[in-house]
Amino acid sequence: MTYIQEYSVAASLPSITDHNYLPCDATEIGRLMDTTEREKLYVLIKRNQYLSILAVFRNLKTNKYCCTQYDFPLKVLSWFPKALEEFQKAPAEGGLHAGAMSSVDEDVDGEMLCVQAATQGYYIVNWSRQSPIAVTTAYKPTEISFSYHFLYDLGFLELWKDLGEKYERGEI
Amino acid sequence: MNIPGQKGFKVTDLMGNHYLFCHSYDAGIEVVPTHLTFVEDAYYGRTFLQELCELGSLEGALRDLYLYARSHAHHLHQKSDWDVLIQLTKMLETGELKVWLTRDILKEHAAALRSKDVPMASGAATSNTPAKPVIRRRQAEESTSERETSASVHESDMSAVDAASKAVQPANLAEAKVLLANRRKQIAATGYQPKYSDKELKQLAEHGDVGGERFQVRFMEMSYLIDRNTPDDPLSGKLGMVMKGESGEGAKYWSTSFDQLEDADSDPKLISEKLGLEYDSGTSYCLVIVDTQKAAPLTGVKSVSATFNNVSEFANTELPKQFSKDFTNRVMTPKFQEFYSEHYSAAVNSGDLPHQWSRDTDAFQNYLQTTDLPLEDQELLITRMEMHDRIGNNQDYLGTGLTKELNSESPNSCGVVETLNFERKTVNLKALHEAGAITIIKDLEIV
Repeated sequence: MTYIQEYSVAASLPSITDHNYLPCDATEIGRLMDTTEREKLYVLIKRNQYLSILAVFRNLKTNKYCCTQYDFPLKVLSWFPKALEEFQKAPAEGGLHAGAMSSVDEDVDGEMLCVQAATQGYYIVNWSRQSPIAVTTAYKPTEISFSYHFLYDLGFLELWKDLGEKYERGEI
Repeated sequence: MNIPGQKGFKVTDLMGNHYLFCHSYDAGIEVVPTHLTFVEDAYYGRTFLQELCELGSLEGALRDLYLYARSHAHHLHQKSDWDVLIQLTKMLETGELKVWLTRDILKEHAAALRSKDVPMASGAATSNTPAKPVIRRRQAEESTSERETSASVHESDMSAVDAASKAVQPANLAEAKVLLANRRKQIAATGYQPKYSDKELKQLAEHGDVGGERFQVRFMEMSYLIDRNTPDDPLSGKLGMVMKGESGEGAKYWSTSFDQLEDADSDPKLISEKLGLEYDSGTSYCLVIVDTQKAAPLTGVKSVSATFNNVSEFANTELPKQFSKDFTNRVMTPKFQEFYSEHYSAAVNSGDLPHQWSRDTDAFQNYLQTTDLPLEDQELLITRMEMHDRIGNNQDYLGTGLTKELNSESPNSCGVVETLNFERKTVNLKALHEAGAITIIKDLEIV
């Protein structure tokens, strides 16, 4: 539709529709509840050399269960904290220009990723995967955002960093 | 055009600010009443002259001014630079010598207006180029052709020019505080009168560069000065604390320029009402004035006036792969805004979105799937919410770039040109204060 595609798109990983029932090749490596807007559970699933992030919540009125799957290379675990730190650098620290909203795209194990600013947090964009919330076949990259509150106050970034270090040590 | 005119002594600093010094004996000229009154204070007057001239390189600039002001001065060569400075300071203090901030930008406007291509009151914004002010000497003489050109400008185009002539740009944070103090006296004496008309505000919002002005202001509750997680740490709060304004909570933070707000002094009620916010007499407010020349290198902040055009251009530039011109042309219109707002409300009512401040695109997609909207429209609405999450233009966004004036006694319906601010990391107020990038006026009081 309106997105500009620069890279090829990898085939989607098999969809997980319920975080309580994982396929046999999937292992949960972490989870944390985000209460920024409502209760929304994020479950991190290792699938060989890939990471699926499941965002799980319920409709407040109908209680309908919803589970959305966002796919990344597993290396995103060690890449994101460093990329975020670099992205946050001010112009005076050698960072991007004032008002820059997106980092430069980086090849992370064959997938093109970047960090972007949100009004109250940050996005990780995977240009190499079709968005799980796309409703047409037109190209739309995978984009997942985490609020400052979730990352910093609720400890999601700490959890992510721990997993990144384990990944680097070959423990994941 | 009410520009002080044919007599006087004109100087221009390297930032492009033009000043006209005029002696009381030239008072027969047509003058604007808005001369810089802060220079009537001995300290600020002297500081103003020093900053304007760079003390280390006086080299006659002040002496020429002195010769103008004291046309019968003798033995000038016997006076030290300091003596000259003190004499001129005294003349400013007593009102014998007055100074105006004039706008040569008017010439530009007049020329552009003549060609029917209104460039805008961007002259309201001073250059952001950091530079030490140095005097360029020039005897003032408004050219006949300039006056004739101004006179020939069509009346309907005058708002851009008038807005430019009203702009107030302090030289530094200290002067900004003094300017506000002077405004307070003026408001106490004659009541509040908005500086810009609705028409001028619309011109500035659409064509000006309010977001690019060096001095920006942030009006917020005193409690935001301290981070709730570190209550014992003064100024541990951030500018980024969210305040619900016309553009909603989605904005990183809400602000406007010093020039837009200075006519309300630091009166919290007047300011609240200009910003379209309900004033709460039980709340203590503060005003943070930000020198963006010093803050931007630390925070990477960029401010953009919140019109459809300006916000679209920003998104096209900074996030071109997501928010192309094609996309913004389709969604950044009043009609699509209404469409987005309607479905946003429906998603809240259905229980998919948890509340009116939500930016949850997963949940919004769930709602959209229950509608019979064409898939392309659903896709467009999802991407619109992703823009909302990144840029802050929420479901209530109007695209005018203007706040609603709530002061029933004001002749205006618009308050100020509002800006959205974009930064990659929030820096606490303490760091900004230590860098000399902000000054805070605390416990604001009603005039």
